[in-house]
Amino acid sequence: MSFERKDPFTADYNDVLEKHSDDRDTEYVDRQEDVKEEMPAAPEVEAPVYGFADGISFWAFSQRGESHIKNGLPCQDRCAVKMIENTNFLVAAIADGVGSCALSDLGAYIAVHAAINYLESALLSDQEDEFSIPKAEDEIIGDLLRGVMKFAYDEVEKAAVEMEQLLYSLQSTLTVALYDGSTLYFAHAGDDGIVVLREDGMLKLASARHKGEEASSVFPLQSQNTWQFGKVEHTAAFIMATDGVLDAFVRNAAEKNRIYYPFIEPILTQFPKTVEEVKENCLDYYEYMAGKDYRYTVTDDLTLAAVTNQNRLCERILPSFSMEEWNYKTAQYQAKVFAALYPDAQEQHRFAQHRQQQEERQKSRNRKMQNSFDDDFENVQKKEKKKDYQDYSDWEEKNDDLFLIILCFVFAVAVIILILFFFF
Amino acid sequence: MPVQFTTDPLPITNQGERHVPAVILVDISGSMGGIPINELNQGLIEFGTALHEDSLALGRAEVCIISFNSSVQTEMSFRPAADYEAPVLSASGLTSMNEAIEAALDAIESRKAEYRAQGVSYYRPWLFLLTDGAPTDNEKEHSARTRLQNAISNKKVVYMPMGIGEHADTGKLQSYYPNDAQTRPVLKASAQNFKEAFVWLSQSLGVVSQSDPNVSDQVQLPPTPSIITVGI
Repeated sequence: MSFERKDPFTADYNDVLEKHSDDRDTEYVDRQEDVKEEMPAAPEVEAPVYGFADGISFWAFSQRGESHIKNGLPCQDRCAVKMIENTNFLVAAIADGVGSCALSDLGAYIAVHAAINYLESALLSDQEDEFSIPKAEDEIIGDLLRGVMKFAYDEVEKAAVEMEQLLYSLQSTLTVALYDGSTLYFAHAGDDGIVVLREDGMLKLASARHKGEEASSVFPLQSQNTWQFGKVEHTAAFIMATDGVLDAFVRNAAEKNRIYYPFIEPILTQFPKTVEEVKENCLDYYEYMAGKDYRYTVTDDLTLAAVTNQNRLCERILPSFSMEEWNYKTAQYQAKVFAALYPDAQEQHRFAQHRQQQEERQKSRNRKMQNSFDDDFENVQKKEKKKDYQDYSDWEEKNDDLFLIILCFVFAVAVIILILFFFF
Repeated sequence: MPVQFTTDPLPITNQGERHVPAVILVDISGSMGGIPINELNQGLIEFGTALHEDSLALGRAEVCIISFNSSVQTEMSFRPAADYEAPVLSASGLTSMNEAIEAALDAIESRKAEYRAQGVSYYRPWLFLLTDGAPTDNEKEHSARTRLQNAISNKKVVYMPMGIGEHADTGKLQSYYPNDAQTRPVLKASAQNFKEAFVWLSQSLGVVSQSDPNVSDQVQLPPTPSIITVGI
């Protein structure tokens, strides 16, 4: 079995983020130091993790999102994925700290690591009997998953008590996966998700999004009555993502959780044979999601974890995707919503025009954002130049006025001299 | 080597997906006659102009205008900011502010139900209340105040009251906040010059539209214009 875990951040990875974060990172560090005096902070986000064992490739990473950089907030996402040696199980966990909770980054960190540690010790201690493949039984796994959620919950609560903080301050989501190479078991709380590709080619969102009424609300790990447990047999691959990433490629429940396949296609079509190839795939995504194009659209923290079983994944089961069909269904849904929200016939008539305008505005906004993002410095220079130009124009206008005044004055003096000449 | 996508890796976002519903509740009682009603009408026009300058607010904000004097009238039911048309209002009658608050809360609840039915995500609705006096429908005050206080406490609505002129009872406007509210801001402006408040309101809706609800449920609003003071 070959297995590799990436060491802490190398300069290369840091470069990717630093290139993007620019001097805003400095501001973040300063503000974080202020915060540290009052409250504990979670350790820095771990480096990307990747590995390849017995035909199963896996990788995961979290990145601090643009909104967090802009607002001086830490990365509140955490993830971990691990092949438990001497068992045939892979475990993975992702968590997203609740934005309005002051220590949610720490809560997410504790939840993820508690989940992985709990599963690892449970699998290792019982590997001789219950958990050996193919003897894994639903009931045992079910208890294990309930146990892992409870343990993560308790660990977060314990930390809150030790720090004399409210449990509310450490709230986060948590999604845990346990994979034996064929069957995927998962425990889930919150609005993150697991997208699963089965051996029959079915690609679907396996978990539910536990969102509240408003766009900002979520039912986290601490909402015990919303915990979801599930099992997907004949799983060839699965992808876990926190809500920022998930919402960008999986539409909402009203749109039947349609999945935008092009985003995950390179994960499923790479067919790596070595750990180096897995690493390459991981870092390609890491770099892409640290780039400007992606971050224009997704501003939240970013977490993506991918697991593929190369023994079960093949061209034959890969989904087909039609952009025309995707766009058609999107337009159909928008039309349905518009018709329901604005039943007035006149409004209906305006719909096509409205959509067209919206798209044009979006394009124009994107262009504006791109320009401001790329050319902040250049814009400042241009403004300075413009100001100089305006100043110069004002000066010219003033000079024109002065010239006229002098001309009038000379003319008046000449007239007075002539009058005096005639008198004397 | 960059990741190899065969097509655009992100679908086109639908800016209208998340809605920001806002109810503008305006006093058109007799005392608003003269300069104040002209300012109000001008303010509503400038509100629309300012909305059109912000592409994201235009795609996401939904506006409903309710006026009140001796009765309550829905001048414009919820519609996209892109289709906003400023109504022309005239002043007369008494100040049924409590009835208007209840009507606004009803409108918000009904809109939220429609969003839920369609699976549309939304930001916390706004209730902007503008008045130059004190309510005259005191018999409905207890019910309106209780409903609004509960809605604010339960984070169902963002209440934003504004008193204009020296006769505005800002203490009364403040009393609609829950007693345990940490801050209870009331905006104040001269009755002769308050139309800029609507531009600020539009800009604030723009800021909310651009905020990432996954990051925080609180946003930093733009500073109020100089003609408005904020009392807490």
